[in-house]
Amino acid sequence: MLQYALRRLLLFVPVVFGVLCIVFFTVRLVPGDPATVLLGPEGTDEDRARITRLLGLDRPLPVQFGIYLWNALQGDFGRSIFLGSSVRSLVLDRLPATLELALLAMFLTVVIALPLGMIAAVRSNTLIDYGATLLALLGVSMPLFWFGVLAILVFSLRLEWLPSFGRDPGLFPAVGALFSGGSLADVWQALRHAFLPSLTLAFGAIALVARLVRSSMLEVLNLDYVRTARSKGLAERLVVNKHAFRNALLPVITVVGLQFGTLMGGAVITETIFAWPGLGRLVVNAISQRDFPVIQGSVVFIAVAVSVVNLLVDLSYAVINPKIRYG
Amino acid sequence: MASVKFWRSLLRHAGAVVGGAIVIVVVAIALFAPILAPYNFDQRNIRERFQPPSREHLLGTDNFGRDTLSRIFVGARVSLQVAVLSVGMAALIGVVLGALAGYLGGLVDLIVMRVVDIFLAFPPILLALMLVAVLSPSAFSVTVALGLVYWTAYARVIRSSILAWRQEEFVEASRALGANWPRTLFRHVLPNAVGPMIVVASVGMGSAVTAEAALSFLGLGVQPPTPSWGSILNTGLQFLRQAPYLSTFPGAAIMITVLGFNLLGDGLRDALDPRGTT
Repeated sequence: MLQYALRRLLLFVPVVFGVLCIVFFTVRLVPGDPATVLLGPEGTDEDRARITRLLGLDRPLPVQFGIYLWNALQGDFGRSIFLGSSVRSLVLDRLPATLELALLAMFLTVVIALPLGMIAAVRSNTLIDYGATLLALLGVSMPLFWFGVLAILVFSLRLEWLPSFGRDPGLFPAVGALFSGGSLADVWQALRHAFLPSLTLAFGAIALVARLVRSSMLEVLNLDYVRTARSKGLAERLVVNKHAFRNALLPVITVVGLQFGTLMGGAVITETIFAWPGLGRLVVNAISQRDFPVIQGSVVFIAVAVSVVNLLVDLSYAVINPKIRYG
Repeated sequence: MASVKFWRSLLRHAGAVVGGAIVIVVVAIALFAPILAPYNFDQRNIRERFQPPSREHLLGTDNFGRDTLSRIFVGARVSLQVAVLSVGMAALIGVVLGALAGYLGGLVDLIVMRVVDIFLAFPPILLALMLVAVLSPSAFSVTVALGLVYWTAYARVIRSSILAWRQEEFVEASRALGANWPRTLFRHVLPNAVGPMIVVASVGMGSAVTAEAALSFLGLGVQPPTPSWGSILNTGLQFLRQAPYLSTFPGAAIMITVLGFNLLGDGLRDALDPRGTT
């Protein structure tokens, strides 16, 4: 196990280095002088020189790369051109909002997809199964931004059940405030705001995981040991819930863990639709303003976070499944 | 190699037939958009803005009074064009690198697969956004960005397929006859190994359509006046209360198209590998 963990960790280092390289050189690919691109035709020579110096673009490329690497390893990505504050503080400020959405989305995925996939497998080839399969197929094909727009249309504008935008007051702060005299009403308010965005974010994952649970369960239900369990006279509920489900869950855990990357990608769009003040919106705004330090910092941060989560998923999978460890 | 057996099993697959039919219809709409569209896609008529679906405008009109159906038809063209070109580019990069990695093994394999790992660390849409921002938003940038984002899937599939085919006797025979490695790889191994790629390409078309729409939805894809399903949807979002139909129809167009490619992909996979039918 230790050897596997070390090998996996060693593979992680070049990935982080590669991410840093790709982001650095992509941003340097901007055609023309970035300062001119940023300032437009009206910028004075003095402004251009200031921006060039601010971005460190007046030094030779290898030096720029060295400085960038050194700073990046300390979590320093410079300052935002438009907002003035440091990229690190911008990213850290927005992080809780995005984590909140991602965690809620993961929760919704597990609570909805597991039962759905299990029922579809146990009742395979019945109307319930076809319904669940169709739902899963639609979910995989439906762009999440359309789902988000339809959700606003139905639940906010027509039924007026849930708010359509903003984070108010935020789930983490509301729960935190509970310990210092905050009210449950705030938590409820935060949940109401977070529900539509997190459901939108989760929708694709729900479909994917439900499909996977179904096929994984079907596979396990046909194995010899399940037949043995049945022939021992165990109740079907026990066979399904205790014997089959646990083994069927193995591949599902990996996929749910790996959804983190997809969720971070989805957050970019979801946060834009629901005006959710998270990392995704920070990136989109930075991209439309061409705020390169912010683009650089937040993209590196997200990619490294996704790699770390994937690493943890791989390691935990090796703990659960001995085949990986010794394979 | 497409065999009679392959086609028979594909045509018996209900999903593949439905998916194939959807894809054919969407391709036909894209090809004949200028003839099929009832109006010019950019014909503005302020007096007719925000018309709900009616006989004159089957899917209603937008904030400039432009016919939504015509815009969706032309949007199909943009969407498929970007998808086909980006999938082609991704497949080309992926096949060449994956084939080299699988056939040569050793250091080449190690390097290619690490590069794949690095690309997989980025959420695809995020990497695409960054590339589009650098190249400045246009249909061309979106195509290049998606090609650079999605090549890893092809590289992985081709690599594992090549690993399986590399051991075959005819490959050894080719080597024994004195063929050099590029000839053995590209003439003998690769043509046999590309089968599974068609599944990735079909599903990849769906992903590319969605990604293009997402980028245009964020305003960083195809630029006006050229309509894209994503940008029509974005306009719809701004006028959601006034004209809910404006965001409903382009979304449906995206979903139906992606569903078609996914169903076709599932069918192709089952037809290529009869074991994986659960």
